[in-house]
Amino acid sequence: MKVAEATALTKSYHFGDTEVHALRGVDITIEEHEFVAVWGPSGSGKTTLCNLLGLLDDPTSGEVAIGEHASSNLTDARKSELRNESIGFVFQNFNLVPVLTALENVMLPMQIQGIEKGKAKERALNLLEEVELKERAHHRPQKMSGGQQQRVAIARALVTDPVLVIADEPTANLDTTNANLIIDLMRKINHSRGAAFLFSTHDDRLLDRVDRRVHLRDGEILEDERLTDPSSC
Amino acid sequence: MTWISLAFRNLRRNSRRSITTIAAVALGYAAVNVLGGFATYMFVSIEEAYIYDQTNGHLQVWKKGARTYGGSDPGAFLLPAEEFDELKAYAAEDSRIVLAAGVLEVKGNLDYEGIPGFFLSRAMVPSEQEAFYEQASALRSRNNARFEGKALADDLPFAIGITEGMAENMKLEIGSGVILLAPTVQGQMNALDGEVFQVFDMPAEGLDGRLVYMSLELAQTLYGTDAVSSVRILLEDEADTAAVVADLREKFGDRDWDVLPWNEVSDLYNQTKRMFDIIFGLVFAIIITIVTMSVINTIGMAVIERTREIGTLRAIGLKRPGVVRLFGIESALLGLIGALFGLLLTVGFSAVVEVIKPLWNPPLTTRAVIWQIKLVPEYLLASFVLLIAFTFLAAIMPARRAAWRGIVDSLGHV
Repeated sequence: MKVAEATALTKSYHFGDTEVHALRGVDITIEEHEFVAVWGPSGSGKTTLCNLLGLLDDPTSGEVAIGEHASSNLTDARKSELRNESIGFVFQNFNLVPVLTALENVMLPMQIQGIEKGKAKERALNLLEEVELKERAHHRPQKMSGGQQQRVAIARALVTDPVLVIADEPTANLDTTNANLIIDLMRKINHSRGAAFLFSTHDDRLLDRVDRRVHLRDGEILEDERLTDPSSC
Repeated sequence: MTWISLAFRNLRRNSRRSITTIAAVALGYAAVNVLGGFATYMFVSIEEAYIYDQTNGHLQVWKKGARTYGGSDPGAFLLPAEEFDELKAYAAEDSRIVLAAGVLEVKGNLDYEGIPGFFLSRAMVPSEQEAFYEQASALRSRNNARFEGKALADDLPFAIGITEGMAENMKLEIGSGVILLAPTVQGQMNALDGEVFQVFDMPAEGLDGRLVYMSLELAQTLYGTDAVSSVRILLEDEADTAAVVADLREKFGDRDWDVLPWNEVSDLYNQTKRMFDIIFGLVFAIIITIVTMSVINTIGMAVIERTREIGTLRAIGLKRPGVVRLFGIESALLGLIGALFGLLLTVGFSAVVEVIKPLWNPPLTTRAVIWQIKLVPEYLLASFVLLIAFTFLAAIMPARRAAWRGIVDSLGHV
């Protein structure tokens, strides 16, 4: 089943008189349970694709659909609801709210949804346990290592049970050990929870550990290679 | 964790900036309320001085035209004794009325050992005059003394009180015998003996050298009449003024009278109130502008510093109004904390003033009086609520700008 689909997606940016084409007619479908890496050199359009599939930005042309919802028909408020309910985000710089503890950061998407505090706390603690950070639940981000912060960010991305988790260069600010740990964790959660993962990377070492890798260059898909069948996991 | 606790924690991120803004709000609140308290003290003082100290009462009854034309021929605009008696009888039946006192305004010459001096008098029955004074509390000097010498009394019709200014000018002392000269209402000159019983402190500069207190009996004898110039009515409760005026106008509608509440008669009160209302309005507008600009600056800086965080919140599903609400709560918290400190400052300052009892010379007065801050709970509450509302509104503009910015743009902000 498709969780996200992009059709004839283009995105251009204007810098003065210069027009830069970040994406040039990309078609891509993400199926449920898939673990997909989008890779390519800097400027290839990885982040732009992640942003458009995550409804963080509007395409210049083309269409993005999350499940049955075509983004062009959605208001900003409805997009916000879809992001909150159906998409989880993991950022390169972790993007945790510094005044909140790990637990509160994980609870935040549920607080936005208006879920009752007790229930949100219980669910957030379970997720922190799953990312092996329950004992750090009451620590603020600045008291944690980069790897720990990214694990909190993964827990936050999963707390509303999304169908798709989008991670833009999630390991870029981590050392090799932590990068491997994060990929292992995402893979484990992908298996255990069934959420599809789409992450961008330029680290070749991570590409052997995915179901599918999409090679982007100059805003176009060069190669879309399925390594394993996600339904077999 | 609630949005309020998140907002509170955000305020602590840059505590110096938050404290500065809170201080601006607190000082603004205190400034508005101290000024408001001082203005109220002025209003109450002028009101009490007018009603009680100057024995004008809460309302006055005059012969129609007396206040406009009575100066040239006061005899033609007097209230006859039978009308005065009728009013006194009505007052005795109305529980809202403490007393209805007849006043005869006379002017003439006061002669002491061949030296003449001009005098003005609003003569009243001394015990009735005392009833007015008993209610007065405003514009008091530190020792609270009203005069030197002996009190005037109903059974001492020849006793008079003179101002400090007159005593100084004419070298009069307590016990000095004087001759009072004035034309009667029939136009003949009349002269009566009087004795200085008291020297009193007259706050109004214009009257300091010429006002004389005398009994109604002495004034009526001097003027050759049993009529009065006006009747001053003292009420139990000032709030009944309008109702009593209306009742009197209805009851005595067929009479050729002007029934006037005190605030219609007192130009000074009305002018002062208008002046303070304008000053207060301007100061309030200036302070609100300063506070609002300060809050806009604080929230504007916070928005810039937290642009990426706003992008993250938007990415994980916070809607645009949610961003505005978050910064609105932060701003309103600044207003709330600032107003609370401002309230403490205001109450503290007025308590210090109450203890120190500083003196000042109000306009048109000759003596130093204690100045006060009369705090008005309605003003305190209204300015409290208004400041919080303004600080909340001040956040909307920068918060809206942040909420409407593109998410990707916000996430990429450095």
